Amino acid sequence: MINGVLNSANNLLDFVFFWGGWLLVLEYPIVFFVKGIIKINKEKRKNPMPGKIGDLFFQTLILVIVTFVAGIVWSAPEIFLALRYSLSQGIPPALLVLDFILNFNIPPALVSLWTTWLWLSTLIRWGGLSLFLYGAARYFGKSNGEGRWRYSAIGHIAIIFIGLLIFNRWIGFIFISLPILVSYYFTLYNLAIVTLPASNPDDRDERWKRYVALVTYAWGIQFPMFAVDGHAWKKLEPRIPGDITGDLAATGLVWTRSHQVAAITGGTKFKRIDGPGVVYTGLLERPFQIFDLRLQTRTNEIDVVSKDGVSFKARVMTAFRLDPEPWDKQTYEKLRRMNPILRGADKPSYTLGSFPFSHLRIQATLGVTSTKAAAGGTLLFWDQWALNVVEDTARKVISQKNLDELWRPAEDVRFANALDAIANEIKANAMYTLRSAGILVFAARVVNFSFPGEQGQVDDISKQQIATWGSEWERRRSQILSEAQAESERTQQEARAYAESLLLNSIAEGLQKAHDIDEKLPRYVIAMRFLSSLQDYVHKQTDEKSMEELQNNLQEWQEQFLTDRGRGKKR
Amino acid sequence: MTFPYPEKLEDWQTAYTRDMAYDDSIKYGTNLAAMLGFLFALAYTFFCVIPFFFSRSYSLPLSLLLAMLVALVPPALLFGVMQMAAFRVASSFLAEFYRPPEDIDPKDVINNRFYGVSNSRRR
Repeated sequence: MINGVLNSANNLLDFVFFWGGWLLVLEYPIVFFVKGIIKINKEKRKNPMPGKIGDLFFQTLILVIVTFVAGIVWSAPEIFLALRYSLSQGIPPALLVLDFILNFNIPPALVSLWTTWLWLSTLIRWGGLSLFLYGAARYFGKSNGEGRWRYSAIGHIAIIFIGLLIFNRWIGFIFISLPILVSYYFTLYNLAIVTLPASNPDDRDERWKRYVALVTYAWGIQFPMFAVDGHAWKKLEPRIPGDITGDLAATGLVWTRSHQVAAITGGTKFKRIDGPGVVYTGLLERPFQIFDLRLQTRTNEIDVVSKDGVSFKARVMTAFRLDPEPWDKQTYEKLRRMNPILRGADKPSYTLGSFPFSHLRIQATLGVTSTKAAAGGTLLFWDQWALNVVEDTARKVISQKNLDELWRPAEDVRFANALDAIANEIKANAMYTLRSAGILVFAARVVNFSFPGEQGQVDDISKQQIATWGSEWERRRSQILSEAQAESERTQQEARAYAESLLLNSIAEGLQKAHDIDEKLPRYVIAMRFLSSLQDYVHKQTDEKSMEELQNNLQEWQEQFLTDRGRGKKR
Repeated sequence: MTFPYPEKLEDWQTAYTRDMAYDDSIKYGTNLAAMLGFLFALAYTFFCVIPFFFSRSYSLPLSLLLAMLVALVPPALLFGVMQMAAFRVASSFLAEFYRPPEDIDPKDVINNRFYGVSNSRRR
């Protein structure tokens, strides 16, 4: 009883398998044609292109022929049996086909023969499908799939045939092969959830994309997968290579940090600004540039020429970032006129996390910089372009100043700094050029000047100009120095005269006081007191050397007053 | 996994604990068991219930039951092989995409994420 039911089910499924295959083969050109018509109608509204319908007809016709051949291959066992029948019955095969086409008549014996060999036909069809699967996996997965395409193809074929051959035909396929394959893909789904990066782990759409990415990786037909390094965002190499032109439902991904966004192109067209986090890419899509949303600081030494024709080197420093600030109406109107891409970019469109940004502003940055190339034909990145703008502006600003103004601003007020004035001018001049490209400059200044030495390549004219400029400064320096010296000497003379007058006055006062105490006081006593006072004065001096000199002088005075000669005079 | 992540940084360390990973693995195991159970029930219906309606005499012979149990062994083996294949794909992806240091075993990392337990701990 059970065997009878199973046999009936198997035969029914053989039948369904055969006609199901035919149905798929027949429906494909119809679906292709209908999709083509819809696509053409959509495109016609935007950009009418005559001749598209004709192309579609031609393509569909080719597809019909191809699918018809595929149908013939699909029915090869039945055709082989029909040929065998016609030969055994002596009926020309063409007559058999004609009878079928005109009368829809198939001889019952032939139908019986097909039914008898239906299982073998099914196995042959599975064999053909397996060869096709292996060939397709090899074709699409060989270049980027290493050995994974082989393991996947052989594994699937083995599981299908184990179910078909060992576990009772279709029943084995349905209850053994299919559950195992389903559990395999179910496990892959769960592994994708724990293995692949995610921007939002709860997002169903993103979960599905992660799953597709891992499944296509298992078959080796994945699109390229990138992981952008934190500090090496300009060197964008895929961690897992893939073919973006593979017309399969594959998914690639670009894993960016929280401070990075990716500009995605599709073929030769710009597609979108995406990120931060995980960006999924589709057919023909690839990351064109990565944008770092953090503050960028750059410095470079540039050759400049002053207004008076002196060439020298200046070190330029700038700090900038992709503009995250909302614009007031006046700024917005001005920038929008400068760059039409910025329409609607008056405020950041992404405000999550620590690095808000505007998609349109980054698109504007890309639009300005992507058409430019650095030296050597390499791609010019936006940060290099911003530095270039600041350098050019610095050259222009310096070229409008002579050497004097690099040290002394035109408006030379107290605490004025020439470098600050230059920095303000550079920033003001570069601000709107950069901001119209979505870049906000925070600082742009010249931090140092250097004049090449004897070994440098400064020309004779510049040398002469520097010497002239230097001699003028030298003259000013000498003049200021000599004036200061004269002033110093004059002050010293005045101080000395004042000190001497004070000393003499003090001595006179001392003598007068001594005389007032006692008019009969001997002169040598007065002299002794005078000397004692001088000695006290000397001791009050802090300078050790002068004190020694004064003590010597004092000694001399004592000798003069206290010697016999002195006494003799006194008497 | 808790998402969006907690606002306080100090809570991040406990945003996804070992217990949560274990719960996730239970969820995965439950789903898988439910799926296999459904298929087994389908097979049981196909092999036993439908024949009952045809024969009008429901009985499950011991030999059939044993045969079904024995018949489960090869599929179980195949199931294990395909599970290993899936894990191998995932660990290959992890090694190629994240490029972990050489002393990190990708399979160990995946086991840790998937079951909440690493191989080394299980050993």
